[in-house]
Amino acid sequence: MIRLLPVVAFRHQDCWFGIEAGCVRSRSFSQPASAVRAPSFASLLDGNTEWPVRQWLLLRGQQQDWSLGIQGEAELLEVAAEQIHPLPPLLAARSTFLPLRALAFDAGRLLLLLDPLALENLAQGQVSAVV
Amino acid sequence: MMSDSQLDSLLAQRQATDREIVDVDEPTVKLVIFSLDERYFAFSGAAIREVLPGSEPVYFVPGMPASVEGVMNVRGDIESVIGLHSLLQLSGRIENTSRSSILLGRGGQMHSGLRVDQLLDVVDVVQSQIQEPPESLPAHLQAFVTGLLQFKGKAVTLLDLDAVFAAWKRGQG
Repeated sequence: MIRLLPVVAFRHQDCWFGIEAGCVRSRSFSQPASAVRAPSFASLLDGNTEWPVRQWLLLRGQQQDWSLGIQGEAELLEVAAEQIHPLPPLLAARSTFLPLRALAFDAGRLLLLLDPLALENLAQGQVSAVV
Repeated sequence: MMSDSQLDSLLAQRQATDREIVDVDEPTVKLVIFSLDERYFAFSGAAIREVLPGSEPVYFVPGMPASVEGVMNVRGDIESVIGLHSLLQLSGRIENTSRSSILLGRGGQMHSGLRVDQLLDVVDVVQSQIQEPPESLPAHLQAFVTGLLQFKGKAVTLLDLDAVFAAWKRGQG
């Protein structure tokens, strides 16, 4: 039974997002050379390319690794299984951001947990949106 | 000692009438009555499992329609919080005021918090007080409105929570 889920959490604007740590190879302050795609998270979330990228997460892809540019701080944390919840049904029915998979409360903040495969699918149309 | 006064007769008559009213075993329905944009609505009490203060923290979730306020932590569970202004075509917006409340509704295998401007009352109403919705009801309300009633001089529109959730899930509101 899974009791804790390791998550790489990062901040974007006023929200905290998380990706299962097992899907994140590394974090760096420069764009990894090995990655085939490098969109910013902001561009995937709402098409906004104005936010500066300060760090890169190298993610395991379906075929190849790819990197995701993030604007804010990032940290590794473990989220208790009982704190993780699927999207409430009404929100699941209307969400326009398909990678949003689940929600968790951690240390008094809401963590928006992302599906890395759905994130990669979304990124496929946005090659090197941010350099 | 018996009295022949008219007043006594009248009071006795009144008491009998009151007893008749109390004894009537007319079915009642519990209603949760609330206001939205200075109009009055109600859900069946069976559909509302809890009423929470509007001051409970609600967390923003991106990628949602404007009618989604966010999610809240209800004793360790997560509930969405939505507003009904858009669905009911009211002019106001979701507002977290000191008087607002969040109704935790459940219906049609869906559940959510619903922010209302003010909770007015939770009452048992005799079913015969609820009138059928008129044919002149605006088209956008016909799917949700199951009846109308007068409560403390206010016209209250009775809404079907299942229908509200179903419409919201289909993309209305």
